Amino acid sequence: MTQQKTPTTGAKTESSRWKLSSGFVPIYIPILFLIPALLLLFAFRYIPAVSAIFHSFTYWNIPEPGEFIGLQNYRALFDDPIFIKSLGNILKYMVGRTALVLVMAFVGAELVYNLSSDRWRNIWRMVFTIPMVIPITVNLLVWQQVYAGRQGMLNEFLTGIGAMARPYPWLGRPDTALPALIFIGFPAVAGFGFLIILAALQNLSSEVNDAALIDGCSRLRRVFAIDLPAIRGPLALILILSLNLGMQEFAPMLVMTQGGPINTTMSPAYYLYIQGFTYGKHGYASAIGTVLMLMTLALSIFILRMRYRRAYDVAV
Amino acid sequence: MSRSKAWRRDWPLMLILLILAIITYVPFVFTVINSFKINAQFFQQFWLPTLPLHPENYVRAWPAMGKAILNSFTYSIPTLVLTLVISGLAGYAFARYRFPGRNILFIAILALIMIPGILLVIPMFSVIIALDWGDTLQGVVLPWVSVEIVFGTFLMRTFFETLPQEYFEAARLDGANEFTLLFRIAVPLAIPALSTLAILDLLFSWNDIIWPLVAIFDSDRLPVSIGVLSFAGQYGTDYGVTFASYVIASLPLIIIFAFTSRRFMDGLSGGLSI
Repeated sequence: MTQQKTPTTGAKTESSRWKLSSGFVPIYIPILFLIPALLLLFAFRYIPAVSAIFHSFTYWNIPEPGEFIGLQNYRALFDDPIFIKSLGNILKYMVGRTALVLVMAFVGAELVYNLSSDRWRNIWRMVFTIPMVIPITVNLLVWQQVYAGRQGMLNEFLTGIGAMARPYPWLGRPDTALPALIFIGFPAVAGFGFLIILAALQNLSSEVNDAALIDGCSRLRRVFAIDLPAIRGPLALILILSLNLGMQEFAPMLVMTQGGPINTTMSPAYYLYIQGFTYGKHGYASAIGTVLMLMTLALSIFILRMRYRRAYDVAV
Repeated sequence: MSRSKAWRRDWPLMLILLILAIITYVPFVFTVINSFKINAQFFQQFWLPTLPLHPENYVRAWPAMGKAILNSFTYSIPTLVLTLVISGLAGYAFARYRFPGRNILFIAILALIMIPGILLVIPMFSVIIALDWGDTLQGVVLPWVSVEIVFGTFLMRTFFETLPQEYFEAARLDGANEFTLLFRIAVPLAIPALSTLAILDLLFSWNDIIWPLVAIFDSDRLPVSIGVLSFAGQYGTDYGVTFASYVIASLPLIIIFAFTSRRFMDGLSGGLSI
Protein backbone atom coordinates (compact mmCIF):
# COMPACT_ATOMS: atom_id res chain seq x y z
CA MET A 1 0.00 0.00 0.00
CA THR A 2 3.02 2.20 0.47
CA GLN A 3 3.49 1.87 -3.26
CA GLN A 4 0.54 4.10 -4.04
CA LYS A 5 2.33 7.13 -2.65
CA THR A 6 3.41 9.61 -5.25
CA PRO A 7 7.10 9.07 -5.89
CA THR A 8 9.31 11.99 -4.99
CA THR A 9 11.24 13.73 -7.70
CA GLY A 10 14.49 12.23 -6.44
CA ALA A 11 13.21 8.70 -6.90
CA LYS A 12 11.98 9.58 -10.35
CA THR A 13 15.31 10.74 -11.70
CA GLU A 14 16.95 7.78 -10.07
CA SER A 15 14.59 5.35 -11.76
CA SER A 16 15.05 6.94 -15.17
CA ARG A 17 18.79 6.81 -14.68
CA TRP A 18 18.37 3.17 -13.81
CA LYS A 19 16.32 2.57 -16.92
CA LEU A 20 19.03 4.11 -19.09
CA SER A 21 21.81 2.06 -17.68
CA SER A 22 19.83 -1.15 -17.92
CA GLY A 23 18.26 -0.38 -21.24
CA PHE A 24 19.32 -3.73 -22.66
CA VAL A 25 17.80 -6.01 -20.06
CA PRO A 26 15.58 -8.29 -22.08
CA ILE A 27 11.95 -8.43 -20.97
CA TYR A 28 12.07 -12.17 -20.33
CA ILE A 29 14.33 -11.65 -17.31
CA PRO A 30 11.74 -10.07 -14.99
CA ILE A 31 9.08 -12.42 -16.35
CA LEU A 32 11.31 -15.38 -15.61
CA PHE A 33 11.72 -14.18 -12.02
CA LEU A 34 7.98 -13.71 -11.60
CA ILE A 35 6.81 -16.99 -13.12
CA PRO A 36 7.10 -19.19 -10.00
CA ALA A 37 5.15 -16.69 -7.88
CA LEU A 38 2.46 -16.19 -10.49
CA LEU A 39 2.03 -19.93 -11.10
CA LEU A 40 1.48 -20.61 -7.41
CA LEU A 41 -0.78 -17.60 -6.89
CA PHE A 42 -2.95 -18.61 -9.83
CA ALA A 43 -3.20 -22.22 -8.78
CA PHE A 44 -3.83 -21.68 -5.07
CA ARG A 45 -5.15 -18.12 -4.66
CA TYR A 46 -6.78 -16.56 -7.73
CA ILE A 47 -8.47 -19.61 -9.22
CA PRO A 48 -9.73 -20.87 -5.83
CA ALA A 49 -11.07 -17.39 -5.03
CA VAL A 50 -13.08 -17.34 -8.25
CA SER A 51 -14.07 -20.95 -7.72
CA ALA A 52 -15.30 -20.23 -4.17
CA ILE A 53 -17.46 -17.35 -5.33
CA PHE A 54 -18.80 -19.40 -8.23
CA HIS A 55 -19.57 -22.41 -6.06
CA SER A 56 -21.41 -20.27 -3.51
CA PHE A 57 -24.23 -20.37 -6.11
CA THR A 58 -24.18 -24.16 -6.33
CA TYR A 59 -25.04 -27.24 -4.39
CA TRP A 60 -21.57 -28.71 -4.02
CA ASN A 61 -20.38 -31.89 -2.38
CA ILE A 62 -16.73 -32.54 -3.23
CA PRO A 63 -15.69 -34.51 -5.32
CA GLU A 64 -19.03 -34.18 -7.18
CA PRO A 65 -19.21 -31.12 -9.44
CA GLY A 66 -21.36 -28.24 -8.20
CA GLU A 67 -24.97 -28.00 -9.32
CA PHE A 68 -26.19 -24.44 -9.98
CA ILE A 69 -28.98 -23.37 -7.62
CA GLY A 70 -28.92 -19.58 -7.90
CA LEU A 71 -29.24 -17.62 -4.69
CA GLN A 72 -30.58 -20.50 -2.61
CA ASN A 73 -27.47 -20.75 -0.41
CA TYR A 74 -27.60 -17.06 0.38
CA ARG A 75 -31.31 -17.16 1.15
CA ALA A 76 -30.82 -20.11 3.46
CA LEU A 77 -27.82 -18.40 5.02
CA PHE A 78 -29.68 -15.28 6.06
CA ASP A 79 -32.49 -17.41 7.45
CA ASP A 80 -30.00 -19.47 9.42
CA PRO A 81 -30.26 -18.41 13.08
CA ILE A 82 -26.83 -19.90 13.89
CA PHE A 83 -25.14 -17.89 11.14
CA ILE A 84 -26.91 -14.68 12.23
CA LYS A 85 -25.86 -15.38 15.80
CA SER A 86 -22.27 -15.98 14.67
CA LEU A 87 -22.22 -12.54 13.01
CA GLY A 88 -23.20 -10.87 16.26
CA ASN A 89 -20.63 -12.94 18.16
CA ILE A 90 -17.78 -12.13 15.83
CA LEU A 91 -18.62 -8.44 15.92
CA LYS A 92 -18.31 -8.44 19.71
CA TYR A 93 -15.20 -10.58 19.60
CA MET A 94 -13.52 -8.46 16.93
CA VAL A 95 -14.18 -5.15 18.63
CA GLY A 96 -13.36 -6.42 22.12
CA ARG A 97 -10.22 -8.24 21.08
CA THR A 98 -8.91 -5.37 18.93
CA ALA A 99 -9.53 -2.80 21.65
CA LEU A 100 -7.72 -4.96 24.20
CA VAL A 101 -4.76 -5.75 21.95
CA LEU A 102 -4.34 -2.22 20.64
CA VAL A 103 -4.56 -0.52 24.03
CA MET A 104 -2.30 -3.01 25.79
CA ALA A 105 0.27 -3.06 22.98
CA PHE A 106 0.41 0.73 23.12
CA VAL A 107 0.62 0.84 26.92
CA GLY A 108 3.37 -1.80 26.94
CA ALA A 109 5.32 -0.07 24.17
CA GLU A 110 5.10 3.34 25.87
CA LEU A 111 6.24 1.92 29.19
CA VAL A 112 9.28 0.34 27.56
CA TYR A 113 9.99 3.37 25.36
CA ASN A 114 10.01 5.74 28.34
CA LEU A 115 12.70 3.82 30.20
CA SER A 116 15.99 5.67 30.29
CA SER A 117 18.23 2.63 29.99
CA ASP A 118 18.79 0.96 26.62
CA ARG A 119 19.70 -2.26 28.31
CA TRP A 120 16.39 -2.53 30.16
CA ARG A 121 14.49 -1.52 27.06
CA ASN A 122 15.99 -4.48 25.21
CA ILE A 123 15.34 -6.83 28.10
CA TRP A 124 11.64 -5.94 28.30
CA ARG A 125 11.28 -6.13 24.56
CA MET A 126 12.70 -9.65 24.73
CA VAL A 127 10.42 -10.57 27.65
CA PHE A 128 7.32 -9.62 25.67
CA THR A 129 8.51 -11.26 22.46
CA ILE A 130 9.17 -14.77 23.77
CA PRO A 131 5.48 -15.65 24.33
CA MET A 132 4.93 -15.01 20.63
CA VAL A 133 6.88 -18.11 19.67
CA ILE A 134 4.73 -20.45 21.75
CA PRO A 135 2.55 -22.38 19.28
CA ILE A 136 -0.96 -20.93 19.07
CA THR A 137 -2.63 -24.26 19.83
CA VAL A 138 -0.46 -24.69 22.93
CA ASN A 139 -1.36 -21.17 24.02
CA LEU A 140 -5.06 -21.93 23.55
CA LEU A 141 -4.80 -25.22 25.43
CA VAL A 142 -2.96 -23.54 28.29
CA TRP A 143 -5.67 -20.89 28.45
CA GLN A 144 -8.30 -23.58 28.41
CA GLN A 145 -6.63 -24.69 31.61
CA VAL A 146 -6.75 -21.13 32.93
CA TYR A 147 -10.52 -21.02 32.47
CA ALA A 148 -11.25 -24.66 33.37
CA GLY A 149 -14.08 -25.22 35.85
CA ARG A 150 -12.19 -27.93 37.69
CA GLN A 151 -8.49 -27.43 38.39
CA GLY A 152 -8.63 -24.13 36.52
CA MET A 153 -6.04 -21.45 37.31
CA LEU A 154 -8.46 -18.54 37.40
CA ASN A 155 -10.83 -20.40 39.73
CA GLU A 156 -8.04 -21.59 42.02
CA PHE A 157 -6.76 -18.04 42.21
CA LEU A 158 -10.13 -16.38 42.82
CA THR A 159 -11.30 -18.94 45.38
CA GLY A 160 -7.83 -18.91 46.92
CA ILE A 161 -7.93 -15.18 47.64
CA GLY A 162 -11.57 -15.47 48.72
CA ALA A 163 -13.04 -13.46 45.84
CA MET A 164 -15.32 -16.34 44.87
CA ALA A 165 -17.00 -19.01 46.96
CA ARG A 166 -17.01 -21.77 44.37
CA PRO A 167 -15.36 -22.41 41.01
CA TYR A 168 -17.09 -21.16 37.89
CA PRO A 169 -16.89 -22.86 34.46
CA TRP A 170 -15.91 -19.77 32.48
CA LEU A 171 -16.03 -21.45 29.08
CA GLY A 172 -19.12 -23.49 29.89
CA ARG A 173 -21.59 -20.68 30.54
CA PRO A 174 -23.21 -18.61 27.77
CA ASP A 175 -22.58 -15.30 29.53
CA THR A 176 -18.84 -15.70 30.08
CA ALA A 177 -17.64 -17.92 27.20
CA LEU A 178 -17.18 -15.17 24.58
CA PRO A 179 -15.57 -12.65 26.98
CA ALA A 180 -13.25 -15.45 28.09
CA LEU A 181 -12.12 -15.94 24.48
CA ILE A 182 -11.54 -12.20 24.13
CA PHE A 183 -9.28 -12.18 27.18
CA ILE A 184 -7.06 -15.07 26.06
CA GLY A 185 -3.43 -14.16 26.65
CA PHE A 186 -4.30 -11.39 29.09
CA PRO A 187 -2.70 -8.81 29.47
CA ALA A 188 -2.14 -9.24 25.72
CA VAL A 189 0.97 -7.06 25.62
CA ALA A 190 3.13 -9.73 24.00
CA GLY A 191 2.44 -9.63 20.28
CA PHE A 192 3.29 -8.10 16.93
CA GLY A 193 1.43 -4.92 17.84
CA PHE A 194 3.78 -4.27 20.73
CA LEU A 195 6.88 -4.80 18.56
CA ILE A 196 5.57 -2.62 15.74
CA ILE A 197 4.51 0.25 18.02
CA LEU A 198 7.75 0.14 19.98
CA ALA A 199 9.78 0.22 16.76
CA ALA A 200 7.72 3.16 15.52
CA LEU A 201 8.24 5.06 18.78
CA GLN A 202 11.97 4.43 18.68
CA ASN A 203 12.11 5.82 15.15
CA LEU A 204 10.57 9.14 16.22
CA SER A 205 13.01 12.01 16.30
CA SER A 206 14.25 12.74 19.78
CA GLU A 207 14.46 16.46 18.99
CA VAL A 208 10.69 16.88 19.12
CA ASN A 209 10.59 15.13 22.47
CA ASP A 210 13.41 17.25 23.86
CA ALA A 211 11.76 20.46 22.64
CA ALA A 212 8.46 19.44 24.26
CA LEU A 213 10.28 18.61 27.47
CA ILE A 214 11.97 22.04 27.52
CA ASP A 215 8.60 23.69 26.96
CA GLY A 216 7.41 22.00 30.13
CA CYS A 217 5.32 19.24 28.53
CA SER A 218 4.83 16.38 30.99
CA ARG A 219 5.64 12.82 29.96
CA LEU A 220 2.01 11.75 30.08
CA ARG A 221 0.90 14.71 28.00
CA ARG A 222 3.66 13.99 25.47
CA VAL A 223 2.32 10.44 25.04
CA PHE A 224 -1.06 11.72 23.90
CA ALA A 225 -0.08 14.97 22.20
CA ILE A 226 3.04 13.85 20.33
CA ASP A 227 3.51 10.08 20.29
CA LEU A 228 -0.05 9.05 19.51
CA PRO A 229 -0.52 11.26 16.41
CA ALA A 230 2.99 10.50 15.19
CA ILE A 231 2.48 6.74 15.07
CA ARG A 232 -0.99 6.71 13.53
CA GLY A 233 0.36 4.82 10.50
CA PRO A 234 1.48 1.75 12.43
CA LEU A 235 -1.63 2.01 14.63
CA ALA A 236 -3.85 1.88 11.55
CA LEU A 237 -1.91 -1.14 10.30
CA ILE A 238 -2.43 -2.99 13.56
CA LEU A 239 -6.08 -1.96 13.60
CA ILE A 240 -6.67 -3.37 10.11
CA LEU A 241 -4.76 -6.58 10.75
CA SER A 242 -6.40 -7.14 14.11
CA LEU A 243 -9.93 -6.48 12.88
CA ASN A 244 -9.42 -8.65 9.80
CA LEU A 245 -7.91 -11.51 11.74
CA GLY A 246 -10.66 -11.13 14.35
CA MET A 247 -13.33 -11.34 11.67
CA GLN A 248 -11.86 -14.64 10.43
CA GLU A 249 -11.12 -16.06 13.86
CA PHE A 250 -11.73 -19.72 14.28
CA ALA A 251 -8.85 -21.36 16.19
CA PRO A 252 -10.01 -20.43 19.75
CA MET A 253 -13.50 -21.65 18.92
CA LEU A 254 -12.23 -24.89 17.43
CA VAL A 255 -9.81 -25.65 20.25
CA MET A 256 -11.62 -24.33 23.31
CA THR A 257 -15.40 -24.19 22.88
CA GLN A 258 -16.47 -25.82 19.57
CA GLY A 259 -18.76 -22.82 19.17
CA GLY A 260 -20.68 -23.57 22.38
CA PRO A 261 -22.30 -23.20 24.82
CA ILE A 262 -25.52 -22.80 22.78
CA ASN A 263 -23.59 -21.18 19.91
CA THR A 264 -22.51 -18.18 21.99
CA THR A 265 -18.96 -18.53 20.66
CA MET A 266 -19.88 -19.66 17.14
CA SER A 267 -17.92 -17.61 14.59
CA PRO A 268 -18.64 -17.41 10.85
CA ALA A 269 -15.26 -18.93 9.99
CA TYR A 270 -15.75 -21.84 12.36
CA TYR A 271 -19.30 -22.29 11.08
CA LEU A 272 -17.88 -22.41 7.54
CA TYR A 273 -15.48 -25.12 8.66
CA ILE A 274 -18.27 -27.16 10.27
CA GLN A 275 -20.62 -26.79 7.30
CA GLY A 276 -17.85 -27.61 4.82
CA PHE A 277 -15.92 -30.34 6.53
CA THR A 278 -18.32 -31.89 9.05
CA TYR A 279 -21.50 -31.80 6.95
CA GLY A 280 -19.90 -31.72 3.49
CA LYS A 281 -22.07 -28.75 2.43
CA HIS A 282 -19.32 -27.14 0.39
CA GLY A 283 -21.58 -24.79 -1.59
CA TYR A 284 -23.18 -23.46 1.58
CA ALA A 285 -19.77 -23.06 3.20
CA SER A 286 -18.55 -21.15 0.12
CA ALA A 287 -21.48 -18.76 0.53
CA ILE A 288 -20.43 -18.15 4.15
CA GLY A 289 -16.88 -17.52 2.94
CA THR A 290 -18.04 -15.10 0.25
CA VAL A 291 -20.06 -13.09 2.76
CA LEU A 292 -17.05 -13.10 5.05
CA MET A 293 -14.84 -11.83 2.23
CA LEU A 294 -17.25 -9.00 1.40
CA MET A 295 -17.34 -7.96 5.06
CA THR A 296 -13.54 -8.04 5.24
CA LEU A 297 -13.23 -5.89 2.11
CA ALA A 298 -15.79 -3.37 3.32
CA LEU A 299 -14.06 -3.12 6.67
CA SER A 300 -10.58 -2.64 5.18
CA ILE A 301 -11.77 0.03 2.77
CA PHE A 302 -13.62 1.82 5.59
CA ILE A 303 -10.54 1.89 7.83
CA LEU A 304 -8.22 3.00 5.03
CA ARG A 305 -10.62 5.83 4.21
CA MET A 306 -10.74 6.94 7.83
CA ARG A 307 -6.97 6.76 7.93
CA TYR A 308 -6.34 8.90 4.86
CA ARG A 309 -9.19 11.37 5.27
CA ARG A 310 -7.53 14.71 6.00
CA ALA A 311 -4.29 12.88 6.72
CA TYR A 312 -1.42 15.30 6.98
CA ASP A 313 1.43 12.84 7.33
CA VAL A 314 1.26 11.15 3.91
CA ALA A 315 0.91 12.22 0.32
CA VAL A 316 -2.19 10.58 -1.12
CA MET B 1 21.79 10.90 33.54
CA SER B 2 23.16 9.26 36.63
CA ARG B 3 22.15 5.78 37.50
CA SER B 4 20.21 6.57 40.66
CA LYS B 5 18.39 9.45 39.01
CA ALA B 6 17.39 7.22 36.13
CA TRP B 7 16.19 4.61 38.57
CA ARG B 8 14.12 7.14 40.50
CA ARG B 9 12.50 8.16 37.24
CA ASP B 10 11.99 4.65 35.92
CA TRP B 11 10.90 2.53 38.85
CA PRO B 12 7.12 3.04 38.44
CA LEU B 13 7.38 1.98 34.80
CA MET B 14 9.51 -1.02 35.71
CA LEU B 15 6.99 -2.04 38.37
CA ILE B 16 4.06 -1.94 35.96
CA LEU B 17 6.09 -3.85 33.35
CA LEU B 18 7.00 -6.44 35.95
CA ILE B 19 3.34 -6.96 36.89
CA LEU B 20 2.34 -7.27 33.22
CA ALA B 21 5.14 -9.76 32.64
CA ILE B 22 4.17 -11.85 35.65
CA ILE B 23 0.54 -12.10 34.53
CA THR B 24 1.73 -12.99 31.01
CA TYR B 25 4.04 -15.75 32.18
CA VAL B 26 2.09 -17.32 35.07
CA PRO B 27 0.06 -19.73 32.88
CA PHE B 28 3.23 -20.98 31.16
CA VAL B 29 5.28 -21.33 34.33
CA PHE B 30 2.34 -23.18 35.86
CA THR B 31 2.31 -25.53 32.87
CA VAL B 32 6.01 -26.28 33.21
CA ILE B 33 5.79 -26.85 36.98
CA ASN B 34 2.83 -29.20 36.72
CA SER B 35 4.34 -31.13 33.83
CA PHE B 36 6.55 -32.75 36.49
CA LYS B 37 3.67 -33.94 38.68
CA ILE B 38 1.44 -36.99 38.70
CA ASN B 39 -2.29 -36.41 39.13
CA ALA B 40 -2.25 -37.08 42.91
CA GLN B 41 0.38 -34.35 43.39
CA PHE B 42 -1.49 -31.99 41.09
CA PHE B 43 -4.74 -32.32 43.02
CA GLN B 44 -2.93 -31.86 46.31
CA GLN B 45 -0.77 -28.84 45.47
CA PHE B 46 -2.02 -26.70 42.59
CA TRP B 47 0.54 -23.93 42.15
CA LEU B 48 3.90 -25.00 43.57
CA PRO B 49 6.33 -27.74 42.53
CA THR B 50 6.29 -30.87 44.69
CA LEU B 51 8.77 -33.69 45.08
CA PRO B 52 9.42 -36.19 43.71
CA LEU B 53 9.61 -34.78 40.18
CA HIS B 54 8.18 -37.02 37.48
CA PRO B 55 10.24 -36.56 34.33
CA GLU B 56 8.70 -39.79 33.02
CA ASN B 57 5.73 -37.61 31.97
CA TYR B 58 8.05 -36.37 29.24
CA VAL B 59 9.03 -39.90 28.30
CA ARG B 60 5.36 -40.74 27.83
CA ALA B 61 4.59 -37.58 25.84
CA TRP B 62 7.72 -37.81 23.65
CA PRO B 63 6.84 -40.55 21.10
CA ALA B 64 3.73 -38.77 19.83
CA MET B 65 5.11 -35.25 20.14
CA GLY B 66 8.53 -36.12 18.70
CA LYS B 67 6.84 -37.52 15.62
CA ALA B 68 4.65 -34.44 15.31
CA ILE B 69 7.69 -32.16 15.58
CA LEU B 70 9.49 -34.15 12.90
CA ASN B 71 6.39 -33.86 10.69
CA SER B 72 6.25 -30.11 11.28
CA PHE B 73 9.86 -29.71 10.17
CA THR B 74 9.17 -31.89 7.13
CA TYR B 75 6.47 -29.44 6.07
CA SER B 76 8.01 -26.21 7.34
CA ILE B 77 11.51 -26.46 5.87
CA PRO B 78 10.44 -26.89 2.22
CA THR B 79 7.82 -24.17 2.76
CA LEU B 80 10.52 -21.89 4.09
CA VAL B 81 12.99 -22.52 1.26
CA LEU B 82 10.39 -22.10 -1.47
CA THR B 83 8.92 -18.98 0.15
CA LEU B 84 12.32 -17.30 0.35
CA VAL B 85 13.34 -18.17 -3.20
CA ILE B 86 10.03 -17.28 -4.83
CA SER B 87 9.40 -14.07 -2.85
CA GLY B 88 13.00 -13.00 -3.32
CA LEU B 89 12.83 -13.43 -7.10
CA ALA B 90 9.45 -11.72 -7.41
CA GLY B 91 10.37 -8.87 -5.06
CA TYR B 92 13.62 -8.34 -6.98
CA ALA B 93 11.82 -8.27 -10.32
CA PHE B 94 9.35 -5.66 -9.05
CA ALA B 95 12.04 -3.52 -7.45
CA ARG B 96 14.73 -3.58 -10.14
CA TYR B 97 13.06 -3.82 -13.53
CA ARG B 98 10.53 -1.72 -15.41
CA PHE B 99 8.15 -3.76 -17.50
CA PRO B 100 4.64 -3.25 -18.83
CA GLY B 101 1.91 -4.00 -16.30
CA ARG B 102 4.30 -3.90 -13.37
CA ASN B 103 2.15 -1.78 -11.07
CA ILE B 104 -1.11 -3.50 -11.91
CA LEU B 105 0.48 -6.88 -11.31
CA PHE B 106 1.86 -5.78 -7.96
CA ILE B 107 -1.49 -4.39 -6.81
CA ALA B 108 -3.18 -7.60 -7.97
CA ILE B 109 -0.80 -9.57 -5.74
CA LEU B 110 -1.26 -7.24 -2.77
CA ALA B 111 -5.04 -7.42 -3.11
CA LEU B 112 -4.82 -11.07 -2.11
CA ILE B 113 -4.13 -9.94 1.45
CA MET B 114 -7.77 -8.90 1.65
CA ILE B 115 -9.13 -12.33 0.75
CA PRO B 116 -9.85 -14.43 3.84
CA GLY B 117 -7.76 -17.60 3.82
CA ILE B 118 -10.68 -19.65 5.05
CA LEU B 119 -12.70 -18.83 1.92
CA LEU B 120 -10.08 -20.52 -0.25
CA VAL B 121 -9.81 -23.63 1.88
CA ILE B 122 -12.81 -25.31 0.28
CA PRO B 123 -11.83 -24.87 -3.39
CA MET B 124 -8.24 -25.78 -2.48
CA PHE B 125 -9.55 -28.91 -0.82
CA SER B 126 -11.30 -29.81 -4.08
CA VAL B 127 -8.01 -29.28 -5.96
CA ILE B 128 -6.18 -31.52 -3.48
CA ILE B 129 -8.83 -34.22 -3.89
CA ALA B 130 -8.78 -33.90 -7.69
CA LEU B 131 -4.98 -34.22 -7.82
CA ASP B 132 -5.02 -36.95 -5.17
CA TRP B 133 -2.63 -34.87 -3.08
CA GLY B 134 -4.15 -35.68 0.29
CA ASP B 135 -1.49 -36.71 2.82
CA THR B 136 1.33 -35.58 0.52
CA LEU B 137 4.16 -33.15 1.14
CA GLN B 138 3.32 -30.95 -1.85
CA GLY B 139 -0.35 -30.91 -0.83
CA VAL B 140 0.59 -29.15 2.39
CA VAL B 141 3.59 -27.14 1.25
CA LEU B 142 2.51 -25.52 -2.02
CA PRO B 143 -0.70 -23.94 -0.65
CA TRP B 144 1.26 -22.68 2.35
CA VAL B 145 3.89 -21.13 0.08
CA SER B 146 1.13 -19.47 -1.95
CA VAL B 147 -0.10 -17.79 1.23
CA GLU B 148 3.33 -16.65 2.35
CA ILE B 149 4.69 -15.26 -0.93
CA VAL B 150 2.06 -12.51 -0.95
CA PHE B 151 3.50 -10.77 2.07
CA GLY B 152 6.99 -12.03 1.13
CA THR B 153 6.95 -10.35 -2.27
CA PHE B 154 5.82 -7.10 -0.66
CA LEU B 155 8.55 -7.29 1.97
CA MET B 156 11.33 -8.18 -0.47
CA ARG B 157 10.32 -5.53 -2.98
CA THR B 158 10.33 -2.87 -0.26
CA PHE B 159 13.75 -4.07 0.82
CA PHE B 160 15.36 -4.30 -2.63
CA GLU B 161 14.19 -0.78 -3.43
CA THR B 162 16.35 0.54 -0.61
CA LEU B 163 19.57 -0.87 -2.12
CA PRO B 164 21.69 1.82 -3.83
CA GLN B 165 21.59 1.59 -7.61
CA GLU B 166 25.31 2.31 -7.82
CA TYR B 167 26.22 -1.18 -6.61
CA PHE B 168 24.42 -2.73 -9.53
CA GLU B 169 25.67 -0.24 -12.09
CA ALA B 170 29.26 -0.69 -11.05
CA ALA B 171 28.99 -4.45 -11.34
CA ARG B 172 27.27 -4.19 -14.69
CA LEU B 173 30.06 -2.01 -16.01
CA ASP B 174 32.43 -4.74 -14.95
CA GLY B 175 30.51 -7.07 -17.23
CA ALA B 176 28.27 -8.86 -14.75
CA ASN B 177 25.06 -10.29 -16.22
CA GLU B 178 21.60 -10.16 -14.60
CA PHE B 179 22.02 -13.45 -12.77
CA THR B 180 25.38 -12.48 -11.34
CA LEU B 181 23.88 -9.21 -10.12
CA LEU B 182 21.11 -11.10 -8.37
CA PHE B 183 23.20 -13.83 -6.76
CA ARG B 184 26.43 -11.95 -6.07
CA ILE B 185 25.07 -8.56 -4.99
CA ALA B 186 21.38 -8.58 -4.16
CA VAL B 187 21.14 -11.88 -2.28
CA PRO B 188 24.07 -11.33 0.10
CA LEU B 189 22.77 -7.84 0.94
CA ALA B 190 19.27 -9.21 1.47
CA ILE B 191 20.21 -11.63 4.26
CA PRO B 192 18.55 -9.52 7.02
CA ALA B 193 15.30 -9.12 5.09
CA LEU B 194 15.34 -12.80 4.14
CA SER B 195 15.82 -13.82 7.76
CA THR B 196 12.88 -11.69 8.86
CA LEU B 197 10.76 -13.35 6.22
CA ALA B 198 12.10 -16.77 7.26
CA ILE B 199 11.08 -16.27 10.87
CA LEU B 200 7.61 -14.96 10.01
CA ASP B 201 7.18 -17.88 7.62
CA LEU B 202 8.25 -20.38 10.25
CA LEU B 203 5.79 -18.92 12.77
CA PHE B 204 3.03 -19.17 10.19
CA SER B 205 3.67 -22.73 9.07
CA TRP B 206 4.26 -23.94 12.62
CA ASN B 207 0.96 -22.46 13.82
CA ASP B 208 -1.46 -23.03 10.97
CA ILE B 209 -4.15 -25.52 11.88
CA ILE B 210 -6.82 -25.12 9.24
CA TRP B 211 -4.91 -26.40 6.22
CA PRO B 212 -3.31 -29.47 7.85
CA LEU B 213 -6.73 -30.35 9.29
CA VAL B 214 -8.13 -30.31 5.77
CA ALA B 215 -5.26 -31.75 3.74
CA ILE B 216 -3.94 -34.44 6.09
CA PHE B 217 -6.06 -37.48 6.88
CA ASP B 218 -3.41 -39.79 8.33
CA SER B 219 -2.94 -38.99 12.04
CA ASP B 220 0.70 -40.16 11.82
CA ARG B 221 1.48 -37.21 9.53
CA LEU B 222 -0.04 -34.41 11.58
CA PRO B 223 2.16 -31.42 12.44
CA VAL B 224 2.70 -30.15 15.99
CA SER B 225 -0.13 -27.60 15.84
CA ILE B 226 -2.68 -30.40 15.56
CA GLY B 227 -0.64 -33.21 17.12
CA VAL B 228 -0.66 -31.44 20.47
CA LEU B 229 -4.42 -31.03 20.18
CA SER B 230 -5.14 -34.69 19.53
CA PHE B 231 -2.65 -35.73 22.20
CA ALA B 232 -4.44 -33.50 24.73
CA GLY B 233 -7.68 -35.12 23.61
CA GLN B 234 -6.33 -38.59 24.40
CA TYR B 235 -4.46 -37.83 27.63
CA GLY B 236 -6.62 -34.93 28.86
CA THR B 237 -7.25 -36.51 32.26
CA ASP B 238 -3.55 -37.17 32.85
CA TYR B 239 -2.56 -33.58 33.58
CA GLY B 240 1.20 -34.08 33.97
CA VAL B 241 1.62 -35.88 30.65
CA THR B 242 -0.60 -33.37 28.84
CA PHE B 243 1.36 -30.44 30.22
CA ALA B 244 4.61 -32.18 29.26
CA SER B 245 3.33 -32.44 25.69
CA TYR B 246 2.66 -28.67 25.67
CA VAL B 247 6.23 -28.00 26.80
CA ILE B 248 7.73 -30.34 24.19
CA ALA B 249 5.61 -28.74 21.44
CA SER B 250 6.86 -25.27 22.41
CA LEU B 251 10.55 -26.10 22.64
CA PRO B 252 11.65 -26.16 18.96
CA LEU B 253 10.59 -22.59 18.22
CA ILE B 254 11.88 -21.32 21.55
CA ILE B 255 15.27 -22.83 20.77
CA ILE B 256 15.28 -21.33 17.28
CA PHE B 257 14.24 -17.98 18.74
CA ALA B 258 17.04 -18.12 21.28
CA PHE B 259 19.54 -18.09 18.42
CA THR B 260 17.79 -15.52 16.24
CA SER B 261 16.13 -13.18 18.74
CA ARG B 262 17.96 -10.05 17.65
CA ARG B 263 17.17 -10.60 14.02
CA PHE B 264 13.58 -11.45 14.76
CA MET B 265 12.94 -8.28 16.73
CA ASP B 266 15.02 -6.00 14.51
CA GLY B 267 13.21 -7.27 11.45
CA LEU B 268 10.11 -5.44 12.56
CA SER B 269 12.01 -2.30 13.53
CA GLY B 270 12.07 -1.12 9.94
CA GLY B 271 8.71 0.32 10.91
CA LEU B 272 5.80 -1.34 9.16
CA SER B 273 3.29 1.31 8.19
CA ILE B 274 0.50 2.10 5.79
